[in-house]
Amino acid sequence: MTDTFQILVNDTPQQANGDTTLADAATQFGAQAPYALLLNQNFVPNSEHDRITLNPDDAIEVISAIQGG
Amino acid sequence: MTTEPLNIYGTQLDSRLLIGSALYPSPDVMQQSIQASGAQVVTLSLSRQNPEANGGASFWEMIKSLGLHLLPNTAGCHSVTEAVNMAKMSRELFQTDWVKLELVGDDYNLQPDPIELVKATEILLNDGFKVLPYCTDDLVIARHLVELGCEVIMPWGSPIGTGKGLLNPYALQAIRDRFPEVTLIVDSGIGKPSHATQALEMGVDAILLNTAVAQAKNPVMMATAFARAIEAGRLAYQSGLISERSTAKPSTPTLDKPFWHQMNYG
Repeated sequence: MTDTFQILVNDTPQQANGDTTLADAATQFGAQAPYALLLNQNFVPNSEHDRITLNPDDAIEVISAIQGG
Repeated sequence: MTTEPLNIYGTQLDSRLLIGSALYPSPDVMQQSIQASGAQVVTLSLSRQNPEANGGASFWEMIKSLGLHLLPNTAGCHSVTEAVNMAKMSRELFQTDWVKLELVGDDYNLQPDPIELVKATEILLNDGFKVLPYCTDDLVIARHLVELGCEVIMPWGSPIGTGKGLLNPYALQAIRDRFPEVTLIVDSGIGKPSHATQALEMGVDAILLNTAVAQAKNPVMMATAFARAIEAGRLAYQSGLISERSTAKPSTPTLDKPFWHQMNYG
């Protein structure tokens, strides 16, 4: 177990540690599939969500479909 | 009576109306309006997910159920980086390499940023996207986009949501005449079916609209009106419009008319 630190998911503070993956953080947030993820403003493909672990102050955005013109 | 199909990067479509999914009074009206329009392409977008609001799942399920081609936009992006990231998210989520590339240059009128648009277009084309760029009616910007490899370009008629129609028909006609091989779609500013007819009569290939249908008092009926207006405009274009004259010319034959010897006013 590593030390916990704070991250942001859609601007909401959330706790994580060095083992927390992007997928873990999205699940903890309550993200509902299908969604896409940005990590620190950069797109991360779905295939990487289980591989990338987080660092203090990382900012994640959970993105999904809405109406558009 | 036949009309040629609309070509979007090799995909042949019967309808020349592309329709948005926003601003409808209810999801049911959205669905009925899109169906009434006959559109085979529907635009949609991306936003931060709010799990407490079902994560947007109901909208997504409804759109999928329509079975149409999806055209994700990059609305609200102000930089190349934002637009490219949004395009990549859309490709993953919606399983399409089509993207309606929007890059706002000024919030006052949501005018596309032509310089950043060209940069983002190049990046996305090189990454395998089929880019449908929302641009102004500037011929030179259109030329840059075409030279990069865009097979579709989407100049505005007027700013998004204004309903002012074609503010600069001359500029649109110039783009049409200069790039006859490109699929030309007027995107934004269409307020009335007659605006759409005007564009199609000029040789514009298709119309992308949202507000004019979604905000009508009866969106479903207005969707039908636009479908017919666009079909009329296309048929007129293919039929060959007459040239304007500055003086009158009688349509009724005058030879052997009674009283022909009287002063003939035409």
